[in-house]
Amino acid sequence: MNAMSLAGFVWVATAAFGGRSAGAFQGASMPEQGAQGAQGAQAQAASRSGFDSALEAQVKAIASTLRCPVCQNLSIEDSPSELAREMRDLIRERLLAGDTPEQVRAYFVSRYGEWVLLKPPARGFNLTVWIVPVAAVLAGIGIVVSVVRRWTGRRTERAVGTLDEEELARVRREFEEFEARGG
Amino acid sequence: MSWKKILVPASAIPIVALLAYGLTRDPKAIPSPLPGKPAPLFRLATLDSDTIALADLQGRVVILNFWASWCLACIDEHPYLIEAHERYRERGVSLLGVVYQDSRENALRWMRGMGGDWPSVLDPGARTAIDYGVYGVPETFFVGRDGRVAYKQLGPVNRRILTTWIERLLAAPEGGPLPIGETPVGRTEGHVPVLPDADQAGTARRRPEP
Repeated sequence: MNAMSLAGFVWVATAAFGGRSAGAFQGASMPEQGAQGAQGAQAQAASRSGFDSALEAQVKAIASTLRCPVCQNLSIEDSPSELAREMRDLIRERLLAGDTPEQVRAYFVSRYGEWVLLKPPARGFNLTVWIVPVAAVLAGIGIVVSVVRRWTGRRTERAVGTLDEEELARVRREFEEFEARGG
Repeated sequence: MSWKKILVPASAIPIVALLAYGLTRDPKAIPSPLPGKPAPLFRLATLDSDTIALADLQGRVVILNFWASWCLACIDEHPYLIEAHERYRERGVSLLGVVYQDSRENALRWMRGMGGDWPSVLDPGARTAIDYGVYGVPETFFVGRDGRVAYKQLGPVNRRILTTWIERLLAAPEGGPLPIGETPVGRTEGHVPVLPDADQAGTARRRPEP
């Protein structure tokens, strides 16, 4: 038995036991109430969080792909606004009503437009968002390569001993001045 | 060599065009996909504990005004709503308010103080507001007699907007094409989304300008 299934077994066992003890709690006599009540509550909380965590993960996954209309550049998941909270509740309701995540997203698009998607679909004018960065990087690489080539090319062309007439004359003149000063 | 001289300025043209397009748009304005589509139906309780369904108003031109007592621009537009309501109520036009993120008490007090005798419905959980893609107040939808949305106004309405759209919708033949208007971009002054940290409905404040 691996760790995962062991954890699953323990969880199921706790939930089952919790259900029974919670039931018993309804008609429990006073002395038993404390212990059983605590156990029942603990198990119920475990089963509730166990059930919710899958749903909550799904809500979170959808909410983090939707843009909050009230605050710029925050997802519904990250926004603390009232409207975003209501939108998260609505996502949960729709999932519980049997909608697929795709249907939930489509609903929000039908109300707020593609604007509401943090990652707009790659078609039409939206393609610029995908293409421009790649094109800009390629153009940048092209420019760097051509510039580097020009620099290195010039250096090899002008190897040692290839001064032109003017430069040679200046060097001679300065050397003569240096000599004349008796340096 | 000459193609390089052309290439550099030429490459700037699409960049400038893209920036010109992007920077002249209002990032706060969310284009609504609703104009041309059927107005989402609802059945909600009014402030006077009555019930109104949008479907019951089929055959009438409906002005659906999302408002709140904490919304300052709603004060500005209110006299024009009163005026339009008086002028058109007998001509097949219904004005219906939807209270956005506000309590019944605050909304009732505000409406009593401001005047106007058209009904307003409460929208628990903002479900109807989300159904209409509302993200602030005031927002006003002009619904044609066939139940389709013709135009969405972001921010306060005025006499011109109300008259133009009501007349257009009254003039539109039933079953014929609906006049449809795009919400003009860059016209969100007065449209107030709630503060991200607004904790309770009714205590939301104005979004501070940066």
